Amino acid sequence: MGRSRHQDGLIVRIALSIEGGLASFPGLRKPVTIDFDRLPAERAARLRELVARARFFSVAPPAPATAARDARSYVIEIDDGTQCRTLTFTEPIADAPLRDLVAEIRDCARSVRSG
Amino acid sequence: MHRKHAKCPGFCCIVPPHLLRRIAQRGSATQRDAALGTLATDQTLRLGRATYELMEAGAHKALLTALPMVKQRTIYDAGGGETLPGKAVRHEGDRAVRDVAVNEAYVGLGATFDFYAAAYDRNSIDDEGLHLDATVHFGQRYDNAFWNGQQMVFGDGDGDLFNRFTASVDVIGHELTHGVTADEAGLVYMGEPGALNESISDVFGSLVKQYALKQMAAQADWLIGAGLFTAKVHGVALRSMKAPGTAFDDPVLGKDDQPDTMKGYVHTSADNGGVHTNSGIPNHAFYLAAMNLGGHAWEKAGRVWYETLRDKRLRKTATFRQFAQRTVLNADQYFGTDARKAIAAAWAGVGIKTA
Repeated sequence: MGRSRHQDGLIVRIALSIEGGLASFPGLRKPVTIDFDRLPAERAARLRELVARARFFSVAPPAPATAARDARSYVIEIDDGTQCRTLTFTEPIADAPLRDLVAEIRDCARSVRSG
Repeated sequence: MHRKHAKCPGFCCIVPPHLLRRIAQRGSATQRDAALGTLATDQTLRLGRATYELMEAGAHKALLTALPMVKQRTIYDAGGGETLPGKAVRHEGDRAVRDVAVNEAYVGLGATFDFYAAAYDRNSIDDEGLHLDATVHFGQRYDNAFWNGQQMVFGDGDGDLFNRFTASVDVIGHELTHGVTADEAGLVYMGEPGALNESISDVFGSLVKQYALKQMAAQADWLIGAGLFTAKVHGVALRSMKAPGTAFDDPVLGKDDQPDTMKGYVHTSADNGGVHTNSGIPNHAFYLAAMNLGGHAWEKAGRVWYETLRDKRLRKTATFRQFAQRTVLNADQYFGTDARKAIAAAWAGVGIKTA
């Protein structure tokens, strides 16, 4: 005991909803859940690595963008079984590890949506 | 060496330094030399501060007139990354390249510049000849386009639901108009002023396309982003100004939720208070105004909207009704009673009283 599951990389769920962008798409606003039990092992490992590299559970909440227009906001919730955190990222995302994480989650969610 | 500033036009000795620097960067050879000479030698600028302050407004206007109305476009390639601006791949005057996205962005920026110059005598986004920059191939399978406050950014689309975002000239006009709005009314990007901000981008984005095609209001499709969806999507465009709420109805993207009247106004915290949803209301008002007035939409309805955007009495926090009232006043001022009535009727058609 004493070590949280996320330190072991045992993320169990990621949820993404997309707001804004060039148009309003109600279908994209609905949260998409990425269930790690159903992900290919390689992709799950990649996501866990990106979550750790981005320090998702400890990073300071990003300041909202002010000048950008039509930029998308990504509302991301990650649950590792012991803690759950929700952060909103608005493009352009300056921090490279966070940017890579959002891009990967976006791609995973696309696969989930398209079945 | 003979000082160039001896040939300087009369306005140079009373120009603020930041404008001199801008002329030095962007003016003609003669203007550049004059500006550099003045910057280097003319200490009387400081001594004559009182005169300068009195004359600054007039000098600024004279300078803007003097600045050449010339396009300066640069297209960058992000190469699938998300670092801006990326590698410059086509500059102003360069011949077309093999990359269709680069060429579409170049042509779209040009069409937008030409539209504003010809229709409203506006010199680029800031009316001071701002260089137009765009980045293509942003991100991996990235399905969006946005204005980051300084430049345009285009994704290639995911290929599944979206094609490349450079394919629609009205989308390019839409994004650049966000720069115009920021420079003029500065409408805050939240709630009703945010939806107005979005609508103004749709209005002038559509007019860029209509102007390029030399269409009458009745001939236009009044769609935003036609051609961006792949054949797989059940929809024709991102939005319809003619019939908000009908542009798409798709299993993945959902159903177009734009209202066309105030009765359907959506109260939400998402998307900055539904800026891309409630923009359907002023969008439809503009469509009705253009149809009521007839002819080329950019000549009367567009002109009234443009002058309202530049109207110093329009607040950054303007509501739909406040914006509508200003369009009616400006219609009367620029085109008379019939235009005023036509535009008031258009707003009434979406449930907004202007009297």
